Amino acid sequence: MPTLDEFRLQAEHLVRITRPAKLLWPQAGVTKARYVRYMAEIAPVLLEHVRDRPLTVIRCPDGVGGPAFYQKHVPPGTPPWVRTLAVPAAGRGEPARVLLADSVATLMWLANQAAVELHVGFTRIGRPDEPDWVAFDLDPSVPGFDAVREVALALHRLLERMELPHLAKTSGATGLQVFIPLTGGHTFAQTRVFTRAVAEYLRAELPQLVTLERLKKDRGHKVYVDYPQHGRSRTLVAAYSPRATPAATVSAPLTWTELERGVRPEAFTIHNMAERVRAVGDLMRPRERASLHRIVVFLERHGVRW
Amino acid sequence: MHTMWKGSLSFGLVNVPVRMYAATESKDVKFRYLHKACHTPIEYQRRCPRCDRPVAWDEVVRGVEYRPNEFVVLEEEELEALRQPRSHTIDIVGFVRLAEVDPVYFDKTYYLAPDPAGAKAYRLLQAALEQTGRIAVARTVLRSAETLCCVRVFGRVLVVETLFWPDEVRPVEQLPAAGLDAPVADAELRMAVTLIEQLSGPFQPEQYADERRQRIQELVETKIQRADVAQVRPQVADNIIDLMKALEESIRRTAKASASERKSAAAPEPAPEPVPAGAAPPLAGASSEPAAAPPRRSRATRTRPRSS
Repeated sequence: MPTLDEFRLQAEHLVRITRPAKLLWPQAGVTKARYVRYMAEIAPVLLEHVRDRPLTVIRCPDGVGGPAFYQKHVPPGTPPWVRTLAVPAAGRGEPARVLLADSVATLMWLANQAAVELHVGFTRIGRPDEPDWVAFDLDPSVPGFDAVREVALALHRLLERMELPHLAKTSGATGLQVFIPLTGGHTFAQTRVFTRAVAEYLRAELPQLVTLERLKKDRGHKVYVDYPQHGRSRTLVAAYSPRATPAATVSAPLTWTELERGVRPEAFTIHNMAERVRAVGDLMRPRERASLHRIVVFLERHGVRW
Repeated sequence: MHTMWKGSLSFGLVNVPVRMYAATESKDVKFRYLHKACHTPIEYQRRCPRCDRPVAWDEVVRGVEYRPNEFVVLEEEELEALRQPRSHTIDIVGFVRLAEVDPVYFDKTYYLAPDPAGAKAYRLLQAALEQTGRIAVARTVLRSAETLCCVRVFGRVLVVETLFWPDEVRPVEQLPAAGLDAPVADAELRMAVTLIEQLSGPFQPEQYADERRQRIQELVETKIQRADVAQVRPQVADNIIDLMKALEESIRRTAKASASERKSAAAPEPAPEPVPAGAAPPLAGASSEPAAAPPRRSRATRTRPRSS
């Protein structure tokens, strides 16, 4: 059978796929064509989590294991139908254009660009100062998921007691992320007060397991609770995005029961994620949203600053 | 670009309406000073060493030190009375050749953009300056300071160069200048001139870049990517566990309270209490009330979205 050098796929727009047989995850046997198919299959749920949010991607042009780079701005040669957004520069400088993924075609185009990871921030376009998620990024300092799970379950119990809706997903690598969907009208100044209090609480409750040290060398063997993650320019890997790991693992939303029963992050990959979504649906879809206003007032009254 | 001044260029009987923009900006890396131990930006405090206490701005006056430790105090009203009325014109007083103004006089450069109403007059002045090879010497008031300046053509636009006042340029006679009268040997001079001619070429500033700044920015970027960053984290309450328990308790009580509120009227807002406290103030768990809410609010106003 002749190998194709290039083919075109019709989604909302015609997407050109070049070198489809190229191995993007060589150890997991995932070719570019397979990744494009994953994007098409996962698009209905993935788009819910990246749509309307400026995108940062990690590209591995030679496949996972080769050189990788972050890309936030619109690269030359971007098809005209890819939606972009002008954003003011952080400091002095020219405004830049960032990518928005809002169509199956864009996801397939990103797959063709070897954009192996998709990361998004905590705000939606048009409201860059209004976070609609709070996230806790739990990252083990040494390999091993048990400590992460224990910290996550402690956080789960706290948020239950506080009657705050919350959702969990694997980072796709070694960690776990816990999200609280927010109602409108929050500021980063507010969410930081909240995330800081919760992170400090976890460290006080589980001092042998939790560290808040940013520097890796100071973390020891503990789980790093990354609460400053929650800032304007910070991003987290999107739910259902793959990671640049040898096994082509995916950031997988989980139920708390699955976590209690000892589910492991390496169980979810490009090979099985679409099937799981067909079975369990989108576990990251917020069913309820929380308001932190009163909680933050309480914490600030009692001296918590971020 | 941000308009920093709006007015007109006044030239004989002609007024050219213009807007002024800063032409240059410093891009030097800005450093903050942090406390080495905890990486908190250090604060400077205004204090009086004699009274040994911090001083508020309304307790501060301006003084001129005319002799060491002897001051003439100038009250705000006295300074106000001297202030120039804000001028809205750049008054051209004469024309000279650019080469006659030594660069030592140049202070800051501003672009002048034509106001749509005066585009024709703007173009006329620009063309006339170009044709005569002259620049205009002018006076104006910028940021309430009387300013000497010149108006010239740069590219296709008019620019204002503010000039130092003559007494602000230090006389060269103040310089230690031993050896300035030493004789110059003809042969050496010829060699030096030849060297200069060999190295002569057009001025191409884009060939040069601030390499130190680039290296600092690269280092900063690398450290950000490695998450090697410091974040201000002042000490949170060391009773955080008690505080969160009080918070949970208050959320529970609010949930109950709001259930009973459906029958009765709203209770007054409790005052802040210290923690740990036996009874923490109730919270409206999922409501969204502004922080500084007056007491005795009805449920209807309590669910109003936050306005900030």
